[in-house]
Amino acid sequence: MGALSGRLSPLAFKVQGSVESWDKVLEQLTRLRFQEISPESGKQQSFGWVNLTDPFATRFEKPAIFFGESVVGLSMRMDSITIPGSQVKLRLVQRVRALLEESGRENITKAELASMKDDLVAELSRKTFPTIKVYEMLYHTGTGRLWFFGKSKSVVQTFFDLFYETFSLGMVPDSPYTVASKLLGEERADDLLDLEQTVFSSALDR
Amino acid sequence: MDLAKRIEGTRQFGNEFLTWLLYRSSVKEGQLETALGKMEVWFEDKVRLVSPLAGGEMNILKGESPAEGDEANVALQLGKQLDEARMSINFQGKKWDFQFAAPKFALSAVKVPAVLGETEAENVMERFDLLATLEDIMGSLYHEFLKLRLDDERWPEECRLIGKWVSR
Repeated sequence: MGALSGRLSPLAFKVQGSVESWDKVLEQLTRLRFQEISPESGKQQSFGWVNLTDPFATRFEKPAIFFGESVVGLSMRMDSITIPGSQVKLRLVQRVRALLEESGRENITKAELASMKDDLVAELSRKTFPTIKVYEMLYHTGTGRLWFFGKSKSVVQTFFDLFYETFSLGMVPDSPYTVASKLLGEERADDLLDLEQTVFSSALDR
Repeated sequence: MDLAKRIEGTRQFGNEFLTWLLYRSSVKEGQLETALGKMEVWFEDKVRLVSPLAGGEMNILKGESPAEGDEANVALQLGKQLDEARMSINFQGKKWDFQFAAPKFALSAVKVPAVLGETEAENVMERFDLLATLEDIMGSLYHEFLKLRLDDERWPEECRLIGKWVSR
C-alpha cells in the first residue's frame, strides 16, 4: 500500500502552514532518525525517520529527501519486540518452581515475582529479533498535500507527533467538510452544517 | 464551532455524494463531465450501503456491478445510501481503479495507470502526480455535487429525479 510500488492506500492530510527553515528540519530529521533497539535498553519499541527508498539509511540531506522540486519523501520506521504473554507465563512458572526447589521455600513474595518477570522479559527481548515496519510519507511542500501510508490509529498518532516535532507543522485529515472547504471556501462549506440529511427514496416520503 | 465538530457533523455528505454519483453514472451510462473535462465513472464489484436512519444497518454487495442490481435498488428504496464502493475512472486515456470510503472522503487500494519513469525518483514523482490527479478528479465530481447540494432550487429537483430513479 506504499508510495513506491503496488496499490496505494493513503491517508490524506492538508499540512497547515509551510516550512520556515529547511536547515532546521534537516537537523530535526537527524535528531529524530530511527535508532535500533539496544538489547541492553530493555525497550521493546523504537521509531524514527529513515530514507524513503532505504529503511536502513538515515542520512538526511536535501537531495535525499526531495523528489523533484516540491515533493518530500520519507519513511517512518517502527521496530518492535513482541514477547507473547503466554510464553512469559509458562517460563515464569518454570523458574518459580526451580527457585522454590532450590531454596526449599514454599512460596515467593510479590516483589520477587515481579522482579523475576522483568528479568525474564528482558532476557527474552534480547533473544528476539524486532519486527520492522516501514510507513511511507509523501509531502508536497507547495500545495501542503500529505499522504501517509499507514492505517492503524496508534501508528497514525505516532506519525502525527513525529511530523509535528520535526516540521513544527500540524495537519488536518481529509473529510467531506475539509474537501468542501478547499473547493468552496470555509464560509460556503459551513453552509453544509445547516442542511438536513437528504433521504433519496421517494418510498419513504409516502 | 471547532474544526473537529464541523468534520464530524458533515460526514453524511460523503454518503450523499457517493449515492448521487451512482445515480449520475447510472443514468448517463458512466459518461460524466466536470470542470476538468469528460470522464467515465464506473462502480465496480463491491459496494456498501448504510442506513442513515436505522442505526447504521448495512448491506455489503459483491459481484458484477452490484450497485446496479436489484439488491442495491431495494436498499436504496429503504433509504440506505452508499458508504463505500469499488470504482474505476477513465480520464484522458488513463484508468484508475480504487476504493472510495465516503464518510472519510478517503481513497484506498488505488491502482494508478502504468508508470513510465526510469529512475526511482521519477517513479515516486509520477505516482504522486497520478494519485494527485485522481484526487483532483474526485474533487471535481464532489464540486459538481456541492454546487447542486447548496442550491435551494436545483437540489429538490435533483432529489425528485433520484427518487424516481430509485423507485424504477
